[in-house]
Amino acid sequence: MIESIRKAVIEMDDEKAIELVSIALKEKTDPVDILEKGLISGMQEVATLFARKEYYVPEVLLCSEAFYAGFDIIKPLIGKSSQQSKTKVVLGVIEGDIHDIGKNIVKVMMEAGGYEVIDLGRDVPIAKFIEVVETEKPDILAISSLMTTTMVHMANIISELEQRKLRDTVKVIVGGAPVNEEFAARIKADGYSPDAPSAVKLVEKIIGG
Amino acid sequence: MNDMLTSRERFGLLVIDEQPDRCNIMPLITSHAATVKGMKLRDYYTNGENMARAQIATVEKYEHDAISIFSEVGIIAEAMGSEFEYPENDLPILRTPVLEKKDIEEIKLPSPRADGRLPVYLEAIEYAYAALGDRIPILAYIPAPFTTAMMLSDPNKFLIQTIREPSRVESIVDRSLAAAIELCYHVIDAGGLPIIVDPLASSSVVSPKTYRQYALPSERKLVDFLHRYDLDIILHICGDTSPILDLLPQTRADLISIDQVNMQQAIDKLSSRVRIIGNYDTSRLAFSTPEDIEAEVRYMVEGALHAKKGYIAATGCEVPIKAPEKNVVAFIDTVKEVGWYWV
Repeated sequence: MIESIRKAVIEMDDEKAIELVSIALKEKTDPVDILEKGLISGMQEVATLFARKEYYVPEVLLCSEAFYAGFDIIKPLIGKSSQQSKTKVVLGVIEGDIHDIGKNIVKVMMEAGGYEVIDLGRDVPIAKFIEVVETEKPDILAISSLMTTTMVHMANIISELEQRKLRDTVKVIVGGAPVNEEFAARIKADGYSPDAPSAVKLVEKIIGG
Repeated sequence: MNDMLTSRERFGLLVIDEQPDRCNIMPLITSHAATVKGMKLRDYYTNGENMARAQIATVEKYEHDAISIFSEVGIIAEAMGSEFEYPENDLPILRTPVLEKKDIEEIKLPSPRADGRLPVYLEAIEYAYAALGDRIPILAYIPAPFTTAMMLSDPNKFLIQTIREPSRVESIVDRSLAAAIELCYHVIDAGGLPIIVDPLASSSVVSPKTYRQYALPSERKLVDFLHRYDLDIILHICGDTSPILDLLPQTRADLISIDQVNMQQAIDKLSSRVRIIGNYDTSRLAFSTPEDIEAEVRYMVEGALHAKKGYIAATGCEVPIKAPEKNVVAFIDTVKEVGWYWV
């Protein structure tokens, strides 16, 4: 059963994911197993297929729908403690930028990676990023920008964090089409990732020390 | 060495398979022209004369080989009803895609002289053509049907529909093709040379299968239409197109412009059939130094200059709006140093 749930995610079948998760729960399967060995394991395979260029953005969006269809049923049934990690990630697309497909893919892969994700959405003002770092105390702040005109705001967020003496409380990672390693280093970000699967690996690396 | 031909002659020789004096230099200098002219972006993309004057000033400064009339790929979608916001110092931002409010059947074809910013676009082409049309190609960027279709829609929903609702996507793409053709009549009349841009069809976004299903047939129909005018047509797809390189000549485009692709691989696969344009990493123009740019551009041009059907030195994507001018100069001057055929 769990293998079929995993397959439903990989095969982009949200209806099947809902059906199978409901059956599995009726059969008293451990929700944590359904989540970790079914849904999350499926999404990790999707990340691999995406990295290998067997899946592209539309396929990943459909797999994400299947993942969330199951995840929404499971989520209320499991305590936070059973998640693999308590690492908290705040994620958002910067002000002026409404391109959020890439961010959404990063989000689903982070959640599939077991991280707690707070999604600020798109077109997020600098002040909002700062406020959330202050109140939520995340381990990771992940900022995305798809335009050369908005990517400069990433530097503003980092300097604002410095001024408020919050910079040491959080690791800042950046991504998006116009962003690269060099730019990330220049604005003193803690990391850069070219795509969603490597964003998850980057977080693992940063948290792992 | 000094140039012996005008930019127009240089491009003309390339497309009849003759070697010009040196290789054409056509970095995608679009909205960067506003920076060169010291103009606010909104003043650039909402006023045709401003756009043309900034482009002319930029070509006079850098002495590259094309005027580029363009602001962003939403221009046809906007004329069909998608709503954009115009920030003072930023490019237009898509706020409400028309298909969020209307059905496809309700969307009318644009009147290029009246709708959205298409009149701005046409005025820019006319102004630039009157000023420099005898000496330099006036490239008019035409968003391809697949890209326009995505700008008419909520992008997330549209991408999902490419797999779930193919007939719906086909009808949106067909509508967008009809709109592109409508615009092209006017663009050609105004003196522009259409260059088809289809960034959302790249393999950074959709699969080769999806490309073959929707983007390729609509690009080909647009190219076929333009060939009736005996024009040589450029197809530009930014991002990664390595997985679809073999398919690109099927569009029947005469020149193919690439971005995140290995240049030697592109030459091996394409250069016996089409002229290749590309593909310097534009983010380097924003963040690198003139010295590094010179070394990298030299390497690129030396490797591509003798591509069988010819080569145009360009950036893989638009030159960043705020790229330092000395970096753009480094790119252009390096090609002018190493890109000679007549020696």
